[in-house]
Parts: sequence; C-alpha cells; structure tokens
Amino acid sequence: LPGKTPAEAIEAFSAPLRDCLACVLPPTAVVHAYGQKRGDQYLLTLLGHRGEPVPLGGPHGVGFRLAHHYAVVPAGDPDDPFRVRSLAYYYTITTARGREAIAYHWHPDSEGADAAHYPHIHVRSYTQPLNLSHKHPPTGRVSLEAVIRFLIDELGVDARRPNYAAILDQSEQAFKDWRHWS
Amino acid sequence: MAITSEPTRTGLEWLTAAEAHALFDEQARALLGISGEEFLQRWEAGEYRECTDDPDRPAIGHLASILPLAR
Repeated sequence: LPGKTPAEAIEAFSAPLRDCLACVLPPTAVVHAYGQKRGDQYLLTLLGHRGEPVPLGGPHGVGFRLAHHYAVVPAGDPDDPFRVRSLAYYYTITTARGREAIAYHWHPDSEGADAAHYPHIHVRSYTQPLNLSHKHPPTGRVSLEAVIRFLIDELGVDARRPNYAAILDQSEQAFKDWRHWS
Repeated sequence: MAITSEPTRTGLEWLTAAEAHALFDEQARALLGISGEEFLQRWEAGEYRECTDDPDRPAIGHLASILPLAR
C-alpha cells in the first residue's frame, strides 16, 4: 500500500500484518522493526526470548517466528509517492519443543551458497522413504495471512479474534492487489 | 479451536541500532553460544555460506534471516 511519506508507507504495510498476527499472538507479543541504513532496507521480525519461537498453544503446542525484509521504493504516484517492496520472508512454524517443523522461505538475494532463491517450503517432518528434509519444494509466494489461516484452521491454534477469517481475507486481498516481486 | 477477545493489533517496537545489535547478540548467544559480533565476523568471512539453508543447522538459517539486526 502506498503512502505520502516513507513512514506512512511502512505503517500501511505493517499495520495489516499486525492485525493478522493479533489473530494468534498473545497480547504481550511485540513485533520488532529495524531500519538498515544501507539501501533503505528494513526488517520486521517476531522473535521469542533467547532464540525460542513465540509459543502459540493449541493442541500441538506449536511456536512461530518470522522475519520479513522490505524496502521503501517510489510508487510512481504523485499523491502517494512511496510504497513498500518485499525483499524476502521467513515464516517458521515449530514443534512444541522449538524444533522447526515447516518453514516458508523466499530470499532471492540470499548470500548463502546453498540457498534456493525461489519461493519454497522446508518440510522437516518424517516422509520416509523420500527424505525431503534437505529439499526445497517450490511454492508460489505465500502470504503471512495464509500461514496464519493454516495455524488456526489446521493446526488448531486458538483464534484470538472472533472475526479472524474476515481479517485474514481482507488483508490477503490487499496483499494480492499490491504485491510486487523484487 | 477456542475464540477469545484480545487486542486488535500486535504491538510494534522500533529498535535503535544498539537495541537491534543487543537483540541479535541475545539470539546468537542462546543458539550458538557465540556473540552476535562473532557470528557476523564468521558470516562475512564466508564460514556459514554452505549452511544457510541446512536443516541440520537451523540456528544458522534463523540468524541469517535476522542478520540486518547485526549490521
């Protein structure tokens, strides 16, 4: 979503995501934001204490953490000249013990030599006889809204807002309308 | 699935450079037992280039995902 200033564009980007996160996160949870001086790049991240994921509860006791990299770029609109362009995402669902279970990754500019640069998923679960734990099954670009919907609808995480489905749908539609690949 | 009433937006906290570095340091110490600065030095030396997506070393990938906090 565009904005009249970089700060307004950042708020237009992060506010809907935080609305969605409030559907599953405890009220004490806080998302951290940080701006990197080089290249006007920013980070939005959800971290638990001391490297642990944020516990979400539910019957499986899953945990969650995220990192979303983005930049503020020209929007080409004189009324709202700035918008956010996503650069990478890392959405991680963990087991109750904090072990990574499923991770949704898109990091096209990763510095790692072993990194897959297309959107992919990491499946750490047992899939014998086919070992997928070191593979990168491709995905389309996955929205945070879709991951949160999966947490609630399929992993049984408690929804903390009664109208969570509408919140996720509305935010996801905006994601589809405004998404730009870097 | 239970439904409860909670705040409508998760809080946002902007970090200063010092706070970001401290947060990264906390994560690196907890996960690898080294300082954030040491992780950054090793990263920039290429020590972790082959294991950023290695499921056997998830801490490396996690720290790589939040590396902007350290810079």
